[in-house]
Amino acid sequence: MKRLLITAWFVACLVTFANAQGLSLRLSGNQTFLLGADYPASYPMIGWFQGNFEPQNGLLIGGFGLGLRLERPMGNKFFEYQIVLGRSRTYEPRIQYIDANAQPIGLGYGINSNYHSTLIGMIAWPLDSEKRLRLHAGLGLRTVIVSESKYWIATGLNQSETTSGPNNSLNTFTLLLPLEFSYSLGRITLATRWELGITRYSRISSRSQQRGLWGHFEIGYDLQKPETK
Amino acid sequence: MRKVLWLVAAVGAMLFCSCEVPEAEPRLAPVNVFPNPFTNQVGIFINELPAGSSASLRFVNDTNDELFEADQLQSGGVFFLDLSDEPSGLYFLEVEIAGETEVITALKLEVE
Repeated sequence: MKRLLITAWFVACLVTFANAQGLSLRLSGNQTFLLGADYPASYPMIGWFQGNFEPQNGLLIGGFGLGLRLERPMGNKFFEYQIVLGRSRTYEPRIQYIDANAQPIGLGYGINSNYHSTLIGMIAWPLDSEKRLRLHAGLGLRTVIVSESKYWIATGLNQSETTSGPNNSLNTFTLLLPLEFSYSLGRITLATRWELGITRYSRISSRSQQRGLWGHFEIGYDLQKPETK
Repeated sequence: MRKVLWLVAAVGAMLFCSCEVPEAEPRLAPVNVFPNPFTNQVGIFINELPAGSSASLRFVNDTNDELFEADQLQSGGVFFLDLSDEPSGLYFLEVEIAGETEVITALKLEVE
């Protein structure tokens, strides 16, 4: 029954896609928060990062994405369908580096870069008479296309090198509950959207309680405006 | 204009509230893997457990396939696993002591 409802939702989205009257381009920045993680996966992604063992005061650019939104008026509301291709980042827990004699030799952080696509279907409710301020809610599906982990490894006192490789520990598909507030100024739309993952984030059984929460800060440009009553 | 300012303020407040700061110093785990990173063989040592407790271990790869499992382990134990046939990447040691579970990440590097 659950699968049937989800399928019906995405079919409705595709119908919207076929009958779309509005089209906008969306550029966004995002940050991932891991709910239920017992390690600081979401240490602020803006700040100087030394590329060493600790995030210090450096700059680690987090996530970003490019999307396309289609919308269709539906009475007083709007039905919207959005596809986003993007990257998001999280920290892995610290690794304690240990030599062959079981002596600790340092700590290192890992960074996961996850390249993903997200499909979202939402209904938008205007909150003012001019329909500029809107509340959007719906259902989405996030698909991890590629995930890569990069680690800093201690090679000596204050010396390090990096290694990177695929990270297969993330679930490929995550079902999302998106909630968005947007404000339109002519062809420009400013929006903040929060997507709560309601299915598992990780395949690892000890991380089964983790759920992803993605915050998006988006700017949209209307390529084509829908006709509204 | 005032609505836009409210929206920006709300976004800023959400960002500020959601920032987590990592712990200053991690505590030493009573069970750990060595060397870390490793290439072909990895050791698991049980350093010092709380009095009267034992440890259960589960060593998995990054797709949650179990490579090693043991329970009722006491302080001072050392195990060696040959992972020369396994691909490089992330491995996880799940340690359960007195009902508390901790996950230790291990890194396998490619042999040069």
